[in-house]
Formats: sequence, structure tokens, C-alpha cells
Amino acid sequence: MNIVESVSTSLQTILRTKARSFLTMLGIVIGVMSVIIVLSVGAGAQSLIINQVKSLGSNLVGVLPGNSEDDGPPASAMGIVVTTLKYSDGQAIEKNGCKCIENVAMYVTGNDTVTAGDSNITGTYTGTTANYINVEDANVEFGHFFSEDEEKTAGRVAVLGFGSKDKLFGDEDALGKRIRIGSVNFTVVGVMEERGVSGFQNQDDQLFIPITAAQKLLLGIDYVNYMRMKVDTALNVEQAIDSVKDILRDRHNIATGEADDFSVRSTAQGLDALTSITDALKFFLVAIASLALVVGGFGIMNIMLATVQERTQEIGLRKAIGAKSNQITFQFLIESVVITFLGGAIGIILGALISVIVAKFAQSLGYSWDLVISLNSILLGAGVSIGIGLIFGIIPARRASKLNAIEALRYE
Amino acid sequence: MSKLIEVKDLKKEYGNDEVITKILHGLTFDIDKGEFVSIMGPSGSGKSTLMHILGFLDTLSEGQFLFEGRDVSKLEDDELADMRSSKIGFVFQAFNLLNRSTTLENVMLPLLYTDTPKKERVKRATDLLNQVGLGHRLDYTPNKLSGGEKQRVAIARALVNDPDIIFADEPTGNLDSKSGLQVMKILQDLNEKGHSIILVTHEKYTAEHAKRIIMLKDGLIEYDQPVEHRQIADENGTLIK
Ligand SMILES: Nc1ncnc2c1ncn2[C@@H]1O[C@H](COP(=O)(O)OP(=O)(O)OP(=O)(O)O)[C@@H](O)[C@H]1O
Ligand SMILES: [Mg+2]
Repeated sequence: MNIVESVSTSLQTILRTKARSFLTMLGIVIGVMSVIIVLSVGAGAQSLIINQVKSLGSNLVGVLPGNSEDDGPPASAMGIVVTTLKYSDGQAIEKNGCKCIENVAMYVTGNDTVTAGDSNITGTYTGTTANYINVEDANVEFGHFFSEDEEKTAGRVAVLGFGSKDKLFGDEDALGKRIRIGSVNFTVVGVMEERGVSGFQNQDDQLFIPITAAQKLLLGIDYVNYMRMKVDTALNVEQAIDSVKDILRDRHNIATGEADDFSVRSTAQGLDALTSITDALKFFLVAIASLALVVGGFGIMNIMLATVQERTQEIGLRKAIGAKSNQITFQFLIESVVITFLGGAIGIILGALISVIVAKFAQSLGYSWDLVISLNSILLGAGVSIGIGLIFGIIPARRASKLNAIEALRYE
Repeated sequence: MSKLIEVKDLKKEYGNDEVITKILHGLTFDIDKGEFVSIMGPSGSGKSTLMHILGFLDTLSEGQFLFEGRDVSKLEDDELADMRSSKIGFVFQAFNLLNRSTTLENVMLPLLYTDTPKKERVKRATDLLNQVGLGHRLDYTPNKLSGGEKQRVAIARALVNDPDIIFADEPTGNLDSKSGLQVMKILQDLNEKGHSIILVTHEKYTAEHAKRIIMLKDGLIEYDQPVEHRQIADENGTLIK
């Protein structure tokens, strides 16, 4: 009896007991399905985050306060306030840094009530520099962005994101109108172009004011949260990073051998860090989903043991008419592998379907979510289900092959 | 004639450390190739047990059993399986058909463990089922067959691998006299063609279709002698030769 025949014989056996076979496979179906979904949805979410970072461009360099390992996040990214990075640092980089650095934008952010006439919202505002629009490739739809003068002199001017304008003024014209952030009045000088949802953040719900105004009038701080600078070409990014490090170390009086009190990162490095973080997360989720597979495996073993018990007579007869022990082992192993493989196949199909639905749903909401069902995850699902059939099928199969023919024949 | 089976002082007991049941107390006999032997004895006298030992299904407790001159107790399990597969055909007392497989599949079963191609398996099994008059029942499952039909399926299965030696345990036990005679005719024809046959029965009349009777009693051989008035089965009944 060759393998093709053994498989078709097992299929017949499985079809004869459809309900039981389905219940037997259920654990594997669910396990494989979860693994496929986790891998696919994980990859989709990863693509969402990475697409967002990529959309910033590959020639951006960011500076965060506080030291960090090369591929780990700096302390400031985890919400710890570090105050070492100053407005004057950015100005110095702009003046004395590598010629390849075209613009340096600096940022502080805060939360406060924003009022315009009768409407008020609780919003996040960003204090930034005039060249924000150059660094971020943003465009102003109405009016203009605030000027370098206004940036330096804490001008009380504001530029609204498309969505913020809508919330505060509706259809009315906003230019020249007054808004109040906290208790400070600002004049609206511009409205940004609509940008849509990018990543998890709605870019349109922004509100920009000169960084010095935010520091002095609203937050009462003298440091900046982070800087972003645009380098002329991606090729010069390394050079730009070195020049930023030199200037900052000098300005912060850091002796040779001492660690930086800031972190400089290019988008590429950021991507690497993000990828390794999201990879770890994916791995963790897959590990959890795999538990279902193990549980499913024990289910299979349980039922196969019962099957062996039930089919004692058949096994005895087969041995009596000339089947060798390993032929019996093989038959039962094939049977459990066929069951788990079928379960795996169903799980892959269901998992892929659900992944498609999730991706379509996310895309319909405007997220740049890639549908990723990799060949690898399908092969993994198929391989793991076959493996489970082998591992959990071996004990019942061995038990079947060890049955004594004559005792099995007499067994009623 | 060359010796097929040589048994010396064969003993068999069942049991664990606490209770030991002695079934066979020491049997000695030879069977030549081409013989037709009946093993007789009252119920529980160990006929089936002896047949299982001679068919390599069970092991003896003491004594010696040579098959074609080879000491069976020295053979590996896989060698025994090979011998069962190539040399022996069994008709079990309880038929032991697979209830979820068809008649044809049941008859083909022993060939699964040989390297006979599938086509050949189907052909041999179909031919045999035709011979035992069940050509119109190929795709029936055993639970739809009558007792006599099951018995004939079991016989077809025992013959499918063209065995040198056929063990039949009460092959007429469940049959009316006509079907019983049909079975005996098949066995006698096979014997004419050179197959050795060992028939287990407790009926004197059935046993007399063989050429020799070994009578068991209380775990010993009561007598072992040729059949004087042999019954010959044919389509219409049995003639005394
Ligand atoms: N595994 C076993 N353990 C203990 N005793 C057993 C075992 N198998 C068989 N026996 C006993 O061995 C004796 C002989 O059994 P066997 O089946 O050989 O009898 P038999 O001559 O074929 O009888 P029958 O004509 O009723 O078929 C019986 O008493 C039976 O109870
Ligand atoms: Mg018996």
C-alpha cells in the first residue's frame, strides 16, 4: 500500500465520521487560523506604521533629548521629560552645521482648551518654527504660515489644521479671526491643506503657533521636545548626523568619552527600530496563538487514542493477515496527519479570509494598510499542522502497532 | 512428502502471576505438505488456540514448533508477519470482517500488505468472490450479508493471497447444511490443487471431509488417525467414498 492509497483510505475513514472528524480538527483549525490572522494583521499594522514613517521621507534626521542605545527608543520617546535640548541649539545647527542640512524645525507640544467665539475644543497644539512647512512638506491652503520673525518674537499668530478650522469655524472664513488657547489670544493667519489620516494620527486636527510663543506664553519652559531637519539628499544623512553631534556635544560641554545627552536618528534608523519592535510584538502574538495549536494537538491525540481503542479488532485482523507493526503505525500516523492537515488547510483559508476583511475594512477607513498574507505564513501553517499530526499521532499509532493480534481479535 | 509442520511436546498456558490456566498439556504431531487435517475436540479444548499458534498469531509456552524446518520461536515479528502474508490464509471462527468496508475491500485486505498492484488486487478479489458465488455483492458491507455470505467472504479473503496453507476455524459453524457443503467443496477442491488445509471443527461429520483427524481432549491428543470413510462434498450433497 503506497502513500497515495494510505491517504485516500484515511480520507474515506474521515469522511465516514464527518462530525467527529470535524470536532477533532477544530483545535487545529482555530490554531492555524489565529496564527495566519496574527501574522497578516500584524504585518498590516506594521505596514501602517512604517508607511507613515516612510512618508516623511528618507532624508530626515531627528534629534531627541536624552541618550539612547543605537536601536532602542530614547527616554524622551517613552514620556520621560528631558530638558537638555534648547531652542538655541537648533539655531546653532542651522548656522554652523553641515551645509547639507537645509532646514531645522523644532517642536514643543501641549494640550489646552482652544476657543473661537462660541465653539471650543480641547486640542493639542504644536509650537514650531517657521520652516516647519519645508521640513514636513506641508502646504498652506488659505493665508500663510507664520514668519521667521513671528517665530523668534513669540508672535501671537496661529495656523489651523484643516480639521481644526472646520471644528472651530465651520464654513466661515477663519483668516484674521481670533482664537484663544488657554487664556492667550492668537490671530489666525493661515489654514493648512487637508492631509487626511496618516498612520494613527489625524494630521488635520493640528494647530500650529510659533515655538517661542508656546514656550513662554503657554508652557513656561525653555527647552524643545524634539527637532527634525531636512538634509539635501539621503546620501548626506550620515554627514549631517555627525555635524549635529559635534555641535551639540560642544554646546553641551560633553567631554570626550562621555555619552551624548541627546539622540540623533535618521528615518532609516527609526524604521529599523520600529521594525524590530513590531517584529517582537508579532512574534509574541504568534506564540500566544500557537498555544491553541498545542491544545488542538492534545485533542487529536485524545481522539486518536479512542479510535485505536475502538478499532482494536480491525487492528488485530490486519496484523493477523500479515500487516507489520510499522505498517500499522504508518496507517494511524497518516490518518492523524491527514486530519491535522485538513484542519490546517481550513484554518489557512478562514484566516486568509478574515485577514482580507480586516485589511479591506482598514483601507475603507483611509488607512494605508497593506494586505499581507505571505507564502511563508501559509507554509508555516501547513507545516505546523502536519507536524502536530506527527507529534501527537505517534503515541496512538505506536499503541495501535503494539496490540497483540490474537488479543485484539478476541476483543469485543 | 516434505514436512510442513513439526510440533513436539507443545504446551500453552494463559495467565498472570496469580492464576495460570493450562490449555494445552503437550501435543506432538507432524503435518505434511498437501495434507487435509481436521482438528476436533469439545468446546474449550483449545482448538482455536492451537490453530492460532500454528498460524503464528500466538506463541507457545513450552515445546517446539518447526515450520518448514525452521524454529518459529526464533523468528522476528516482521518475519512472522511476512509468513502470514505470503503463506497463510485464515478463516476465523467469528469471521472478523471489517464492517465499514465493502465485501470487495474486505477480500482485498490481505493484499494491501503485499506489493500487489491495485488493479491486480481488484481482479483477484473479484474473481474469488465470483467463485464463492458473491459476484453480485461486491459493494455490500458485511452487516448487509447473511451469515453464510459472510462465511464465504471470509473464505475468499483467506484465499486471495494464494496461500500454501489454509486454516479454517469452524467454517461451517453458522451455516445450514447446504451452504456448509458448498464451503466443504471449496476446501476439498483447494486441497486437490495442492493447498494444505487445517480445519477446526467439533462436528464429526464435517471433520470427515478431511483425510485425517486429530482429536483433542483435556489438553492432550486423544487420537490422531486417517479418515476411514471420507465424505466428498459436491453441488448436490455429500457422497461417501
Ligand atoms: N487470553 C486468554 N486468557 C485466558 N484464557 C484463555 C485466553 N484465550 C483463551 N482462553 C481459554 O482457553 C481455552 C481454549 O480456548 P479456545 O478458544 O482455544 O477453545 P476452542 O476449542 O476453540 O473452543 P470452541 O469450540 O468453543 O471454539 C478456553 O477455556 C478459553 O477460556
Ligand atoms: Mg474455537
